[in-house]
Amino acid sequence: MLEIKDLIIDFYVKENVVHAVKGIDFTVNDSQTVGIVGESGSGKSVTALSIMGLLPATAKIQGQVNFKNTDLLKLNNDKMRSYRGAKIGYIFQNPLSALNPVFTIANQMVETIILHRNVAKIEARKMAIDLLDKVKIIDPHKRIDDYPHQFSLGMCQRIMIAMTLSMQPDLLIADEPTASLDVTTQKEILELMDELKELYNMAMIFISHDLGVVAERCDYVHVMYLGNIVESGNPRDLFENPKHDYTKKLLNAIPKIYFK
Amino acid sequence: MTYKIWFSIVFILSVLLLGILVPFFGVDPLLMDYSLMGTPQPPSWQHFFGTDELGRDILIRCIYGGRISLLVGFVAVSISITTGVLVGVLAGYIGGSFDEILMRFIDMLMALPTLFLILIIQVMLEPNIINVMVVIGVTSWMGVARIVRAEVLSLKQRDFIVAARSRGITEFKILFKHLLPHSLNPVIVAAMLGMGGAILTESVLSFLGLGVQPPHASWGNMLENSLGYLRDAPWMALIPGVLITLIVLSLNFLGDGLWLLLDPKAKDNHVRN
Repeated sequence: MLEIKDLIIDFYVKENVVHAVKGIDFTVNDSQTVGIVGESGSGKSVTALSIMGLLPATAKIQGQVNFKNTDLLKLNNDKMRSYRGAKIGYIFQNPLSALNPVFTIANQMVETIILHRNVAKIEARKMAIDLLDKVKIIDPHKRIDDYPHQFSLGMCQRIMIAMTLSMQPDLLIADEPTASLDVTTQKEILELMDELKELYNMAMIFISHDLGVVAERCDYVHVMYLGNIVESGNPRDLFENPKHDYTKKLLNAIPKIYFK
Repeated sequence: MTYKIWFSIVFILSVLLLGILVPFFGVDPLLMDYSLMGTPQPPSWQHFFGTDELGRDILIRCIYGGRISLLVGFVAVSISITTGVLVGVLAGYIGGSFDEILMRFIDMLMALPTLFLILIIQVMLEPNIINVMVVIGVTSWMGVARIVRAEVLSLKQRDFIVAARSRGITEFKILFKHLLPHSLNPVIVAAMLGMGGAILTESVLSFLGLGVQPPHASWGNMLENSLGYLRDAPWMALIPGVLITLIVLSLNFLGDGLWLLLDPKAKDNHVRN
């Protein structure tokens, strides 16, 4: 479904060049979950944003991003827009800042649904309420008229997931979707995502620095370090038998609990 | 701070209401009292603000003048805000060399002495009230454009804008629905301050005889009228002068008050001080 070939991303800031991604390759097959792990600044999010064509103008991208045999990097902005949301959904790290604070949830969801599903406003609202119910927001017909700041972070992430699902994308990119949530909320959100992925039969790119979370749900994992993919494999092999020094270090960095 | 704001609101509203209602009072700002011709009368029970050299009632002329002042301020600011917001949003959002060119153009306009520019234009065109409003409007939008551009620059990288784009929402809608409402707070403040400036400029123009033309009253041309009678009839200068000061001051206070109300950072500072 998605095939990334020799992707190079450089940022030009004034006279300096920052090499964010230094030539990576990977593929995502239909209904597969691919994990990308690595520390902050290793190029995970930049890679994800480049697939969506959402990098700022200072970025220079080379290589190929083939999505269903179309090279997304060659599309102009208008053509790219028809892929965003409709074919590739994106879930952000901080759900509260990803919702526009001055509009209600209803306003933003209805806007999205009308754009992608070609329905009337009343019907779009009904669909939005259904979706909110599906992501387990209590009293969706009341809460839909609330503003983002009236929800907890975990609920905001549920809303973002509902909004992304309303467009029925074939591929879902989740960019550290639970990094800003506490552990119990994290578990709920992850379970919800697994459930919905199964239901909608989507492929997923799951970006995280939490190795446990990745090991649990990914079919294939890539470890990124300083803009390169240093090791790939299925999670069991990778974590039981790390070959690259960096992967070993990552695994050793997981805190262990000792009792005296 | 609050008493200043209440004073401002009351003053502006009374000028506005009197201006709107005065046509229904059945008084004529051009009515001359021939018996008083040539000798301005001091304030009395008959004429609260006195009369001018042609025996016209200064209170009525002041009310009509206030109407003109507020109208000029409102229309001029509407023009400058619309232009400024449009230019600022486009420059900030599109960015790159388009932004660079627009900003250098604004720098150039800001370096021009605006008042002389307005004077030249007014001399070349016919000095009537519509020209005054338009000329003030088109020479004062640069500050607003800069404010809006700065706001848009910082907003356009925010997550919710990128998120809106990731949902395939069109650039036009992102620009005018998602970005613009966030950058309007400083614009409202700038509008208030700009209105004070516009009223002042109108007074200067009318004073120089290039604004509102006699016999129509404006606070500026009433001042000009009074020049010949400064020694004998100081109230002719004093009353419109005080009114100009008060209206500009009120608008500035109101701008400051709105700034405190709308900008959370400003409120923190205010409490701490």
